[in-house]
Amino acid sequence: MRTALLVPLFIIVGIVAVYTIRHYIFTLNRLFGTQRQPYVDIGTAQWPPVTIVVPAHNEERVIAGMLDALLGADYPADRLSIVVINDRSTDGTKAILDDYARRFPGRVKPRHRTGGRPGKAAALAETSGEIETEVILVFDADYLPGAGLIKQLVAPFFDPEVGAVMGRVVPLNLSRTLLTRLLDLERSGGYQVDQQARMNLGLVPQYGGTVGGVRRSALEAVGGWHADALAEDTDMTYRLIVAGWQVVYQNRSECYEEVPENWPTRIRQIKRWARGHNQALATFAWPLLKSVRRLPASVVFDGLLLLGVFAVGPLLLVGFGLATALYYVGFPVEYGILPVLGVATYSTLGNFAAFFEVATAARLDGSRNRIRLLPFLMFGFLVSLISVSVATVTQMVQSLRGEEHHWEKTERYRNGNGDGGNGGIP
Amino acid sequence: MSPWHGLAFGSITLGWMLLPLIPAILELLRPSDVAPLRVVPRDAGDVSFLAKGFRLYLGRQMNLLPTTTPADFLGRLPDGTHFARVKAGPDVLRPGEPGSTQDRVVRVDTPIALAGNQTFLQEVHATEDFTGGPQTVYRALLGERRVTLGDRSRVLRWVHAGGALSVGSGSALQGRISSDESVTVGPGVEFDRIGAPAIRTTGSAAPARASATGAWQMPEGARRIGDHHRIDGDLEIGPGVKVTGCLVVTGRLTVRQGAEIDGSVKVHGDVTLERAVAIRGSLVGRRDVVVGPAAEVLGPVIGEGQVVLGDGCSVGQADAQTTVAAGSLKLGRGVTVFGQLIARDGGRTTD
Amino acid sequence: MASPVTGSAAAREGLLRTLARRGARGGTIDPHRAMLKLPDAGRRLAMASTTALIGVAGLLASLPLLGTAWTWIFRQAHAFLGLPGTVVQRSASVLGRIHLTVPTLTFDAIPPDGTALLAATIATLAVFGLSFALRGPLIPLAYFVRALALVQSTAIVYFRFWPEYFPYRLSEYLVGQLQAGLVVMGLIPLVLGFTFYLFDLSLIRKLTLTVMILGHLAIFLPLLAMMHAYLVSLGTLVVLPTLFLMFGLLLHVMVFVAFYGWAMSWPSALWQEPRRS
Repeated sequence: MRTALLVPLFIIVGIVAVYTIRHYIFTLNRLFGTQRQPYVDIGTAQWPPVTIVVPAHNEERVIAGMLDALLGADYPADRLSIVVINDRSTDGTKAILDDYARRFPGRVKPRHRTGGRPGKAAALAETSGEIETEVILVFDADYLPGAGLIKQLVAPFFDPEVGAVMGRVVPLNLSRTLLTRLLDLERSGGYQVDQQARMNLGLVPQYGGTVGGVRRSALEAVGGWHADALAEDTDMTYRLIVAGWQVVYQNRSECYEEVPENWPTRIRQIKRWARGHNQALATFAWPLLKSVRRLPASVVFDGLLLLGVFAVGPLLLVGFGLATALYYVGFPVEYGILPVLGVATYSTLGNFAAFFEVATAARLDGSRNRIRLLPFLMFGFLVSLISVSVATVTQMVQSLRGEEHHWEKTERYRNGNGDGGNGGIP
Repeated sequence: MSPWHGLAFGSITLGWMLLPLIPAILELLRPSDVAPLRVVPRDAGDVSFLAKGFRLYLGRQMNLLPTTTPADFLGRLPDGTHFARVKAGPDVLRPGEPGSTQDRVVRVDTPIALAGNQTFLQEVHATEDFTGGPQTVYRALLGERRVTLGDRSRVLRWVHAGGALSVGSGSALQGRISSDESVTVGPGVEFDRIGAPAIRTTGSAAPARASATGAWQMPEGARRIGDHHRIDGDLEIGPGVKVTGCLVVTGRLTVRQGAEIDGSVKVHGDVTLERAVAIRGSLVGRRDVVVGPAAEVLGPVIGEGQVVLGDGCSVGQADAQTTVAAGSLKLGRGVTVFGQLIARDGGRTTD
Repeated sequence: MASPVTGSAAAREGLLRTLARRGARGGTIDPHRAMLKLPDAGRRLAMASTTALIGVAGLLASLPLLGTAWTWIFRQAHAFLGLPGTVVQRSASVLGRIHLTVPTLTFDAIPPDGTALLAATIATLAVFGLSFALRGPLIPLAYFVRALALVQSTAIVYFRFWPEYFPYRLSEYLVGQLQAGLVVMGLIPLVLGFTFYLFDLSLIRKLTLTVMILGHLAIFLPLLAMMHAYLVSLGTLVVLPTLFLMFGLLLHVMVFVAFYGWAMSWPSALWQEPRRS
């Protein structure tokens, strides 16, 4: 009985230990390693025509600010067009877009979707066939790109091996709630340390679906956007990697975004990410493993770990359950405590690698005082752990039943406060 | 067992536990660090950004000077900055005095040639041709027309010239160096960033190269990925061969004399382009890149290690400016780059 | 303001190097945050390892004192709380190699009877139900409370069906708690070695943080253990699993993270505060 509990428990502890070590290595690399940003200095070049795609669903609060920012970009005006995919908006988005199209003919091109499959992936899939430029950048409607950002994001495409590029996301509304401040810390850790370390080490920086872009020929080579992808960004990252393209992260290419201001929105967001990531895990784990002859082993290993990152949540809960069972089975305290300690250590001290990563990132950012909020991140981790686990289990049940997932849009705030309530989540 | 004692003990334990949380709680209740990070502004890739900012600043300050301010003036700007204006009498600067130091913003409204060995600890703005003497140190220099820096000059922050900029031998150029027209760099010059429609090192340009015509056979095992071919391992392209299409090489790449690639090239190992090789796209190297004499690259040259541009080679074209970005950069004689040079760990021209 | 540069060539060079890093209005120009990194990796890692080992050695040297202090705290708390039994000392070992004397209590808590189980069930259901009143910004707390109720419910089920198999006695549990706490204390200089000592803060600050955390835990561990003993004496053994699983190591680590977060906000000599919007 004890062995039956101990063996899976130690396997789980072993898996999460790998993730812990990975966090430490990434953070140490970011602190001491060579910072690879080879393309960011390209300030003068024959800039290629580029299309900026902005999927939009009920974005009347933010879309005008977004378009103004893009129209003010430091990029040859005759080589930049903006395609806004109005995905069945029921608010004033359409009127705003039509107004911009009238004022900036040929530069702002709205595409009004009134039917078809909902969601960002479907909208991108439906529109990509109409885009003729070699470089396609994608921004969410609540982002505020700076004037120099477009050139920075296009520059990596001078490298013929680059299939996708990703910039850094910087929360703009962090002063609103404790949650926004915690998400600001998480974003710092994720981009300033995690993504940049993967770039430094030649691993798998992730294309995040916004503040980034793809090469059209790469997109076509891997079959275009998949309308049924729950996380089209992760899906695209892996299809490109498996096909032999490179994904590039550029830490200096920063862009403001809004982060969720209330927990229900955050919970929905992370559940959506978890479902999308898990879908990608099921789709790409085997193709990635098979690529080990063509891709560096480090890329395959890191790719697998990245794919499994949302599966660690439910795994941890299982581990905690096993440890609890072992506790009741009755090891002598001094021995029985060890497996319990193993799981608890990861979920707390082991997770400290994540705390180290976040604190290091904020320190690199020069944002020292916000690091004091670090202990409150434990609450954020708890909510994420449970939300991701619930999403995973639900997804498995839905898959068994053959049910489809529904796209859930993240709430916007810029000119208001959102609902500020529970959004139906108890 | 008194419940009050239990409550008191629990409070003590809880209080002690919460003690280290006080900084976190204070930061939560009275935030001191909630401003968003300041994202990269417009200047990110503009080599002449600082010069433009200074021009605006000085223009505003000079507009605020009393109209009675004499043409040759030694005093302060309205914001209190020490200031000298030279119009008719360059004696204000005592240009002939060796070893003098000017700790003031200097505006020169007349063509001037300095004797040299001076130090300008603040910005210099020359509205006419400016010729610096040897061994002169500039914090920053904005010349609206031609600017000539004497041998062994040193620039601490930036120089921008509206006309042609010429840099004497043995100079050290820290920061951003730019011209709206051209920059000519003498031998033995150290630099970080240079931007101009044409950047040349002294020496004679290479004669026009002959077009390559030799047939090219893609090596066995090369894979077509999207719009490029991927070659795992090292690759050598023979002399005079013409390759059409983009290449990704995971090993080292050697391109023999006179060969031509009509596309972009990415190499994970070292790159060696021999004499008179042409690349009609970009050249990206994860390690060192050697561009041989009289070679031509049309698109950006990106090298994460050292990039060497050999004698007489050229990058970009007059009507198609581009960038050379490298870890470190070595320029031979007679090199022409149309656009900008970025050397993150420093660049140098041949002695 | 026109003056020859005076002083040695080295002083002049120093001035010029400083000027090269100064902006137009005198501020220092640092590399962009995207490019910042720490220099001297090897030296820093060596210094961090050494400092960590000094911390561990200091802790080992203070173990006898720690055992005495914990016994004193146990005795004071035992008297204050009016708990049954007495405080005794037991020899304990950590990882089978480090031996010390730790205090414990001689009284053993009783397993829950039917009334206690019913009370625990009602309380657990009440807590679980109340968690649904925690809405809006309190949702994380609601999740924690539900996790608490879930763990407590496992204890209730266990004691309802297999009370005779419960393997822990309070006296051993307290020793185990202190032992586990000691493991955490021993890990702290090592974890700080790889996560804090690397940064450009003075040695005094690094040692101060280490002493603060260890000092805090040295007092917190026996206080928490006695609090557990008190709650078990009130609520029977049915509350012990929840105390162990949810209010043991988790709290030690939270203390550590809180100190760490504070210390990482201390100013750096190497990196300047960047401007913000």
